[in-house]
Amino acid sequence: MKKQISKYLLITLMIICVILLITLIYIRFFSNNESKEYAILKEKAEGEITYLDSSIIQLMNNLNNISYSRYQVTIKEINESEQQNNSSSDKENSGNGEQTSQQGSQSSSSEQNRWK
Amino acid sequence: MSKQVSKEAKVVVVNKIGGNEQSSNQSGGSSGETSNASESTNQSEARTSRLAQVDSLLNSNYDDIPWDEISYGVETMYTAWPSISIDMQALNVNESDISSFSTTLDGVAQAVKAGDKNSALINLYNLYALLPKYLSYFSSDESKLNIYNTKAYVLSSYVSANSANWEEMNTNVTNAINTLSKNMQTEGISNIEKSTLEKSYVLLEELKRGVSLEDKEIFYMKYKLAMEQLEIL
Repeated sequence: MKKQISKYLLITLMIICVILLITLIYIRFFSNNESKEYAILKEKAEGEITYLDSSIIQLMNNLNNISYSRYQVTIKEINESEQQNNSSSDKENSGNGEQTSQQGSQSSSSEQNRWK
Repeated sequence: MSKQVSKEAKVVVVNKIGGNEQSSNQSGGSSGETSNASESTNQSEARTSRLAQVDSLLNSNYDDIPWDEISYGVETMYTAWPSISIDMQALNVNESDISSFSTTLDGVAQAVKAGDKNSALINLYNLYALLPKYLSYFSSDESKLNIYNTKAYVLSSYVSANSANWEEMNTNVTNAINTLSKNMQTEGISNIEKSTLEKSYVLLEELKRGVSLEDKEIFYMKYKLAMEQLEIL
Protein backbone atom coordinates (compact mmCIF):
# COMPACT_ATOMS: atom_id res chain seq x y z
CA MET A 1 0.00 0.00 0.00
CA LYS A 2 2.78 2.37 1.01
CA LYS A 3 4.71 1.47 -2.12
CA GLN A 4 1.70 2.22 -4.30
CA ILE A 5 1.22 5.66 -2.71
CA SER A 6 4.85 6.60 -3.24
CA LYS A 7 4.54 5.46 -6.84
CA TYR A 8 1.52 7.73 -7.41
CA LEU A 9 3.29 10.58 -5.68
CA LEU A 10 6.30 10.17 -7.91
CA ILE A 11 4.15 10.13 -11.04
CA THR A 12 2.28 13.27 -9.88
CA LEU A 13 5.56 15.05 -9.16
CA MET A 14 6.88 14.12 -12.55
CA ILE A 15 3.74 15.44 -14.26
CA ILE A 16 4.01 18.70 -12.30
CA CYS A 17 7.68 19.02 -13.31
CA VAL A 18 6.85 18.48 -16.99
CA ILE A 19 4.04 21.06 -16.85
CA LEU A 20 6.36 23.57 -15.19
CA LEU A 21 9.05 22.95 -17.76
CA ILE A 22 6.62 23.44 -20.66
CA THR A 23 5.31 26.65 -19.06
CA LEU A 24 8.82 27.99 -18.59
CA ILE A 25 9.78 27.23 -22.20
CA TYR A 26 6.54 28.84 -23.41
CA ILE A 27 7.08 32.04 -21.37
CA ARG A 28 10.71 32.32 -22.42
CA PHE A 29 9.84 31.85 -26.10
CA PHE A 30 7.15 34.53 -26.02
CA SER A 31 9.15 37.02 -23.99
CA ASN A 32 12.00 36.56 -26.48
CA ASN A 33 9.61 37.21 -29.34
CA GLU A 34 8.27 40.31 -27.62
CA SER A 35 11.73 41.74 -27.00
CA LYS A 36 12.63 41.01 -30.61
CA GLU A 37 9.49 42.79 -31.80
CA TYR A 38 10.27 45.72 -29.53
CA ALA A 39 13.83 45.94 -30.87
CA ILE A 40 12.52 45.92 -34.46
CA LEU A 41 9.94 48.60 -33.62
CA LYS A 42 12.62 50.69 -31.92
CA GLU A 43 14.88 50.43 -34.94
CA LYS A 44 12.00 51.37 -37.24
CA ALA A 45 11.11 54.38 -35.07
CA GLU A 46 14.74 55.52 -35.08
CA GLY A 47 14.71 55.35 -38.87
CA GLU A 48 11.50 57.37 -38.95
CA ILE A 49 13.02 60.01 -36.70
CA THR A 50 16.07 60.18 -38.98
CA TYR A 51 13.70 60.70 -41.92
CA LEU A 52 11.84 63.49 -40.11
CA ASP A 53 15.18 65.02 -39.08
CA SER A 54 16.47 65.28 -42.64
CA SER A 55 13.08 66.34 -44.07
CA ILE A 56 12.61 69.17 -41.56
CA ILE A 57 16.19 70.41 -42.00
CA GLN A 58 15.81 70.32 -45.79
CA LEU A 59 12.59 72.33 -45.60
CA MET A 60 14.21 74.86 -43.31
CA ASN A 61 17.20 75.11 -45.64
CA ASN A 62 14.91 75.59 -48.65
CA LEU A 63 13.44 78.65 -46.98
CA ASN A 64 16.82 80.35 -47.49
CA ASN A 65 17.78 78.57 -50.71
CA ILE A 66 20.45 76.57 -48.89
CA SER A 67 21.44 73.29 -50.50
CA TYR A 68 24.26 70.89 -49.61
CA SER A 69 24.92 70.07 -53.26
CA ARG A 70 27.87 71.81 -54.90
CA TYR A 71 26.64 71.39 -58.47
CA GLN A 72 23.29 71.22 -60.21
CA VAL A 73 22.30 69.76 -63.56
CA THR A 74 21.00 72.26 -66.07
CA ILE A 75 19.37 71.23 -69.34
CA LYS A 76 19.53 73.31 -72.50
CA GLU A 77 17.17 72.60 -75.37
CA ILE A 78 18.41 73.49 -78.84
CA ASN A 79 16.15 73.49 -81.87
CA GLU A 80 18.44 72.20 -84.61
CA SER A 81 16.35 73.28 -87.60
CA GLU A 82 16.30 76.79 -86.27
CA GLN A 83 20.00 76.57 -85.67
CA GLN A 84 20.53 75.41 -89.26
CA ASN A 85 18.35 78.27 -90.48
CA ASN A 86 20.47 80.61 -88.45
CA SER A 87 23.71 79.27 -89.85
CA SER A 88 22.35 79.36 -93.42
CA SER A 89 21.01 82.85 -92.87
CA ASP A 90 24.40 83.88 -91.62
CA LYS A 91 25.91 82.60 -94.89
CA GLU A 92 23.26 84.37 -96.94
CA ASN A 93 23.75 87.49 -94.92
CA SER A 94 27.36 87.57 -95.92
CA GLY A 95 26.38 87.30 -99.63
CA ASN A 96 22.99 89.02 -99.83
CA GLY A 97 22.07 92.05 -97.80
CA GLU A 98 18.34 92.07 -98.76
CA GLN A 99 17.34 89.10 -96.60
CA THR A 100 18.68 90.53 -93.37
CA SER A 101 15.36 91.52 -91.79
CA GLN A 102 13.77 88.11 -92.43
CA GLN A 103 16.66 86.23 -90.97
CA GLY A 104 16.74 88.68 -88.13
CA SER A 105 13.35 87.43 -86.98
CA GLN A 106 14.50 83.81 -87.29
CA SER A 107 17.56 84.40 -85.19
CA SER A 108 15.44 85.96 -82.49
CA SER A 109 13.27 82.81 -82.38
CA SER A 110 16.35 80.68 -81.86
CA GLU A 111 17.03 82.66 -78.73
CA GLN A 112 14.11 80.84 -77.19
CA ASN A 113 16.62 78.15 -76.27
CA ARG A 114 16.29 78.05 -72.55
CA TRP A 115 18.11 76.89 -69.48
CA LYS A 116 16.09 74.92 -66.97
CA MET B 1 20.54 82.00 -64.80
CA SER B 2 23.25 83.54 -66.89
CA LYS B 3 25.44 83.30 -63.82
CA GLN B 4 24.94 79.53 -63.76
CA VAL B 5 25.79 79.23 -67.42
CA SER B 6 28.99 81.11 -66.97
CA LYS B 7 29.95 78.89 -64.06
CA GLU B 8 29.21 75.58 -65.78
CA ALA B 9 31.75 72.90 -65.00
CA LYS B 10 31.52 70.37 -67.80
CA VAL B 11 29.20 68.93 -70.44
CA VAL B 12 27.74 65.62 -69.28
CA VAL B 13 25.29 64.34 -71.88
CA VAL B 14 24.02 65.42 -75.26
CA ASN B 15 20.70 63.79 -76.16
CA LYS B 16 19.06 64.10 -79.56
CA ILE B 17 15.30 64.02 -79.62
CA GLY B 18 13.12 63.91 -82.72
CA GLY B 19 12.80 61.44 -85.59
CA ASN B 20 14.58 58.16 -84.88
CA GLU B 21 17.11 59.73 -82.56
CA GLN B 22 14.80 60.10 -79.62
CA SER B 23 16.67 59.30 -76.46
CA SER B 24 15.45 56.41 -74.32
CA ASN B 25 16.36 57.96 -71.02
CA GLN B 26 14.15 61.00 -71.35
CA SER B 27 11.25 61.39 -68.96
CA GLY B 28 7.92 60.29 -70.44
CA GLY B 29 6.20 63.67 -70.38
CA SER B 30 8.92 65.77 -71.87
CA SER B 31 9.99 63.29 -74.54
CA GLY B 32 6.33 62.90 -75.57
CA GLU B 33 5.99 66.60 -75.98
CA THR B 34 9.16 66.96 -78.00
CA SER B 35 8.38 64.03 -80.29
CA ASN B 36 4.92 65.47 -81.00
CA ALA B 37 6.53 68.76 -81.80
CA SER B 38 8.99 67.07 -84.13
CA GLU B 39 6.17 65.27 -85.99
CA SER B 40 4.20 68.45 -86.59
CA THR B 41 7.04 70.74 -87.56
CA ASN B 42 9.55 68.13 -88.82
CA GLN B 43 12.25 69.56 -86.62
CA SER B 44 14.71 67.79 -84.37
CA GLU B 45 15.77 69.02 -80.98
CA ALA B 46 18.89 68.43 -78.99
CA ARG B 47 19.34 68.72 -75.27
CA THR B 48 22.58 69.33 -73.54
CA SER B 49 22.90 68.59 -69.85
CA ARG B 50 25.56 70.42 -67.92
CA LEU B 51 26.84 70.50 -64.40
CA ALA B 52 26.76 74.03 -63.11
CA GLN B 53 28.00 75.30 -59.79
CA VAL B 54 25.35 76.24 -57.26
CA ASP B 55 25.25 79.96 -56.43
CA SER B 56 27.37 81.02 -53.48
CA LEU B 57 25.44 81.74 -50.29
CA LEU B 58 27.37 84.99 -49.97
CA ASN B 59 25.61 86.34 -53.06
CA SER B 60 22.41 84.33 -52.91
CA ASN B 61 18.92 85.76 -53.16
CA TYR B 62 17.28 84.76 -49.88
CA ASP B 63 13.87 86.13 -50.85
CA ASP B 64 13.47 83.85 -53.86
CA ILE B 65 11.85 80.98 -51.92
CA PRO B 66 10.83 77.78 -53.76
CA TRP B 67 7.37 77.56 -52.13
CA ASP B 68 6.17 74.80 -54.48
CA GLU B 69 9.06 72.56 -53.48
CA ILE B 70 8.47 73.34 -49.80
CA SER B 71 4.73 72.66 -49.96
CA TYR B 72 5.47 69.34 -51.68
CA GLY B 73 7.85 68.47 -48.81
CA VAL B 74 5.18 69.34 -46.24
CA GLU B 75 2.66 67.16 -48.07
CA THR B 76 5.11 64.26 -48.04
CA MET B 77 5.48 64.69 -44.29
CA TYR B 78 1.69 64.59 -43.90
CA THR B 79 1.71 61.30 -45.82
CA ALA B 80 4.38 59.75 -43.61
CA TRP B 81 3.13 61.02 -40.24
CA PRO B 82 0.16 58.62 -39.57
CA SER B 83 2.32 55.48 -39.60
CA ILE B 84 5.07 57.24 -37.63
CA SER B 85 2.55 58.32 -34.96
CA ILE B 86 1.29 54.72 -34.64
CA ASP B 87 4.85 53.52 -34.03
CA MET B 88 5.39 56.30 -31.47
CA GLN B 89 2.22 55.24 -29.65
CA ALA B 90 3.45 51.64 -29.61
CA LEU B 91 6.68 52.87 -28.02
CA ASN B 92 4.75 54.65 -25.25
CA VAL B 93 5.46 58.19 -26.40
CA ASN B 94 3.21 60.65 -24.57
CA GLU B 95 -0.07 61.24 -26.41
CA SER B 96 0.16 65.04 -26.03
CA ASP B 97 3.66 65.03 -27.57
CA ILE B 98 2.34 63.05 -30.54
CA SER B 99 -0.61 65.36 -31.07
CA SER B 100 1.57 68.48 -30.80
CA PHE B 101 3.46 67.27 -33.89
CA SER B 102 0.21 67.21 -35.87
CA THR B 103 -0.77 70.66 -34.59
CA THR B 104 2.64 72.13 -35.44
CA LEU B 105 2.62 70.48 -38.86
CA ASP B 106 -0.70 72.22 -39.51
CA GLY B 107 1.00 75.45 -38.49
CA VAL B 108 3.77 74.80 -41.03
CA ALA B 109 1.21 74.14 -43.76
CA GLN B 110 -0.64 77.34 -42.96
CA ALA B 111 2.58 79.37 -42.97
CA VAL B 112 3.68 77.84 -46.27
CA LYS B 113 0.26 78.51 -47.80
CA ALA B 114 0.43 82.13 -46.65
CA GLY B 115 4.05 82.44 -47.84
CA ASP B 116 5.13 83.50 -44.34
CA LYS B 117 8.83 82.61 -44.12
CA ASN B 118 9.34 83.52 -40.46
CA SER B 119 6.30 81.58 -39.25
CA ALA B 120 7.28 78.59 -41.40
CA LEU B 121 10.78 78.63 -39.89
CA ILE B 122 9.46 78.84 -36.31
CA ASN B 123 6.93 76.04 -36.84
CA LEU B 124 9.51 73.82 -38.54
CA TYR B 125 11.89 74.38 -35.65
CA ASN B 126 9.11 73.47 -33.19
CA LEU B 127 8.59 70.27 -35.17
CA TYR B 128 12.28 69.49 -34.97
CA ALA B 129 12.39 70.15 -31.21
CA LEU B 130 9.95 67.25 -30.74
CA LEU B 131 12.33 64.69 -32.27
CA PRO B 132 14.84 64.42 -29.36
CA LYS B 133 11.83 64.28 -27.05
CA TYR B 134 10.45 61.26 -28.93
CA LEU B 135 13.83 59.60 -29.01
CA SER B 136 14.23 59.95 -25.23
CA TYR B 137 11.14 57.74 -24.71
CA PHE B 138 12.66 54.63 -26.20
CA SER B 139 16.39 55.16 -26.71
CA SER B 140 19.01 55.09 -24.01
CA ASP B 141 21.72 56.21 -26.43
CA GLU B 142 22.88 59.46 -24.86
CA SER B 143 25.26 60.37 -27.68
CA LYS B 144 22.45 60.18 -30.24
CA LEU B 145 20.26 62.38 -28.07
CA ASN B 146 23.12 64.87 -27.72
CA ILE B 147 23.50 65.07 -31.50
CA TYR B 148 19.79 65.75 -31.97
CA ASN B 149 19.89 68.39 -29.24
CA THR B 150 22.98 69.99 -30.82
CA LYS B 151 21.21 70.21 -34.17
CA ALA B 152 18.13 71.65 -32.44
CA TYR B 153 20.27 74.43 -30.93
CA VAL B 154 21.88 75.17 -34.29
CA LEU B 155 18.46 75.28 -35.96
CA SER B 156 17.22 77.59 -33.25
CA SER B 157 20.05 80.02 -34.02
CA TYR B 158 19.21 79.64 -37.73
CA VAL B 159 15.61 80.69 -37.02
CA SER B 160 16.84 83.66 -34.97
CA ALA B 161 19.08 84.69 -37.88
CA ASN B 162 15.95 85.50 -39.87
CA SER B 163 15.06 88.19 -37.34
CA ALA B 164 18.76 89.06 -36.76
CA ASN B 165 18.55 88.28 -33.05
CA TRP B 166 22.31 87.98 -32.57
CA GLU B 167 22.29 87.57 -28.79
CA GLU B 168 19.91 84.64 -28.89
CA MET B 169 21.91 83.14 -31.74
CA ASN B 170 25.09 83.36 -29.71
CA THR B 171 23.44 81.62 -26.72
CA ASN B 172 22.09 78.84 -28.93
CA VAL B 173 25.39 78.20 -30.69
CA THR B 174 27.18 78.13 -27.31
CA ASN B 175 24.63 75.57 -26.07
CA ALA B 176 25.19 73.53 -29.24
CA ILE B 177 28.96 73.51 -28.62
CA ASN B 178 28.49 72.48 -24.97
CA THR B 179 26.08 69.67 -25.92
CA LEU B 180 28.36 68.30 -28.60
CA SER B 181 31.39 68.45 -26.31
CA LYS B 182 29.63 65.93 -24.01
CA ASN B 183 29.93 63.38 -26.82
CA MET B 184 33.61 64.12 -27.22
CA GLN B 185 34.22 63.18 -23.61
CA THR B 186 32.57 59.75 -23.93
CA GLU B 187 34.97 56.85 -23.79
CA GLY B 188 35.21 54.02 -26.26
CA ILE B 189 34.51 55.95 -29.46
CA SER B 190 36.44 55.01 -32.56
CA ASN B 191 39.08 57.26 -34.14
CA ILE B 192 36.83 57.94 -37.14
CA GLU B 193 33.96 59.02 -34.89
CA LYS B 194 36.35 61.13 -32.88
CA SER B 195 37.67 62.97 -35.94
CA THR B 196 34.11 63.55 -37.25
CA LEU B 197 33.10 64.94 -33.86
CA GLU B 198 36.20 67.14 -33.74
CA LYS B 199 35.43 68.52 -37.21
CA SER B 200 31.85 69.26 -36.15
CA TYR B 201 33.15 70.98 -33.03
CA VAL B 202 35.51 73.17 -35.07
CA LEU B 203 32.70 74.08 -37.49
CA LEU B 204 30.45 75.05 -34.57
CA GLU B 205 33.23 77.24 -33.19
CA GLU B 206 33.44 78.82 -36.66
CA LEU B 207 29.67 79.34 -36.57
CA LYS B 208 30.02 81.13 -33.25
CA ARG B 209 32.64 83.39 -34.79
CA GLY B 210 30.20 83.99 -37.67
CA VAL B 211 27.55 85.09 -35.16
CA SER B 212 29.95 87.55 -33.58
CA LEU B 213 30.47 89.14 -37.02
CA GLU B 214 26.72 89.86 -37.13
CA ASP B 215 26.65 89.15 -40.87
CA LYS B 216 23.72 87.05 -42.08
CA GLU B 217 25.35 85.79 -45.28
CA ILE B 218 28.50 84.63 -43.50
CA PHE B 219 26.36 83.01 -40.81
CA TYR B 220 24.33 81.10 -43.43
CA MET B 221 27.51 79.94 -45.13
CA LYS B 222 28.95 78.66 -41.85
CA TYR B 223 25.60 77.21 -40.80
CA LYS B 224 25.48 75.17 -44.00
CA LEU B 225 28.95 73.74 -43.39
CA ALA B 226 28.24 72.94 -39.74
CA MET B 227 24.85 71.37 -40.42
CA GLU B 228 26.19 69.30 -43.30
CA GLN B 229 28.82 67.88 -40.95
CA LEU B 230 26.34 67.30 -38.12
CA GLU B 231 24.11 65.33 -40.45
CA ILE B 232 26.95 62.85 -41.00
CA LEU B 233 27.12 62.08 -37.26
